[in-house]
Amino acid sequence: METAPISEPQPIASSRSRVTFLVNRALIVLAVAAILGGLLFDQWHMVLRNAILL
Amino acid sequence: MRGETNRGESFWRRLARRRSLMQLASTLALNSYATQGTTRGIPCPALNCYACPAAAFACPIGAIQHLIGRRQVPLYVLGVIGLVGALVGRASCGWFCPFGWFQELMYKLPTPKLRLTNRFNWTRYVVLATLVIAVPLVTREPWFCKLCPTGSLQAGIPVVALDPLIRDAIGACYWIKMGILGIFLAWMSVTRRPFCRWVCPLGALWSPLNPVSSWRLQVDQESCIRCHRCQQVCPVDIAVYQDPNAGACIRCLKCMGVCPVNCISVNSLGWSVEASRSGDPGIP
Repeated sequence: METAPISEPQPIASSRSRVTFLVNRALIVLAVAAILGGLLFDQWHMVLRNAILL
Repeated sequence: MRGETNRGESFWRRLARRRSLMQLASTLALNSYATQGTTRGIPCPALNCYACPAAAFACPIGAIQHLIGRRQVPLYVLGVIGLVGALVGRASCGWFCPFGWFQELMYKLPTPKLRLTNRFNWTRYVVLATLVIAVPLVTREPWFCKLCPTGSLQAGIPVVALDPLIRDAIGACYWIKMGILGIFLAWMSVTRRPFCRWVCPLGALWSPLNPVSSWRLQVDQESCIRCHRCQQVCPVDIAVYQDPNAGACIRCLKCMGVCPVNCISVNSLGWSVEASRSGDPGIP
């Protein structure tokens, strides 16, 4: 079975790339935190109830 | 080393050729009906109307408007959108969005074609700020949904066709919606993905994340011969060789398929198995 190859990782080229990497990881953490925060306010149920009523 | 890279690129090229199959599978999965009792509370990574009788997931833009109308900060939905955007940028537009796929199919109609530049594609931010945020905040009504051509196509037409009671109750608003849909149907048959480029508020949310997303394109500027073939096939008409991670890019990988010198490649910003094994973060 063929695996999904990804382009070969390259060495760190510049500080801009490092910033992109850090921003990306920060965004992922923020997004997960936002999801958990929304769930804490029961927003999943609000969305579900609205969707079912449509 | 170069051989390994070429094998990787050929995988992405092969995958790109099967993109329409992915779009078909996504359209069926997002509208699979069976699981909607529980999964309709989950925003899908695409503009898929949840008023559609078969919709299995929530429309993220509809859900944002609903929560804003209830005076809530839509943390949950923005979190899902942000997570998808941070991981794959606007790839969902190119691979999973049923309305994006529909626009691509409409563009295949044998009509005269009109090429428009992306100069005014900031209009989607205006749509996001007004119809999705400001107006629902004031009126507590989901005004983008009331005008959305996706909703007309996926919900307006089937619901009216299936329910005689609703058919008798339709008014001017319904015909305005149908008129908007008609305009977009005509436009998408002559121009590539007009709704995505100038209107879609979901694309507007994802666009700023494209340059910092994990799944990204990179161009070897030394190999690039500036033949412009990537721009010619690009469904959103961007110059890939100038900015491979432009906010408009939907990661369809068509550019990779036509590049005569294979200078476009996919990078995963540190998520690759090889990178984690070697301890190299894989930053381009």
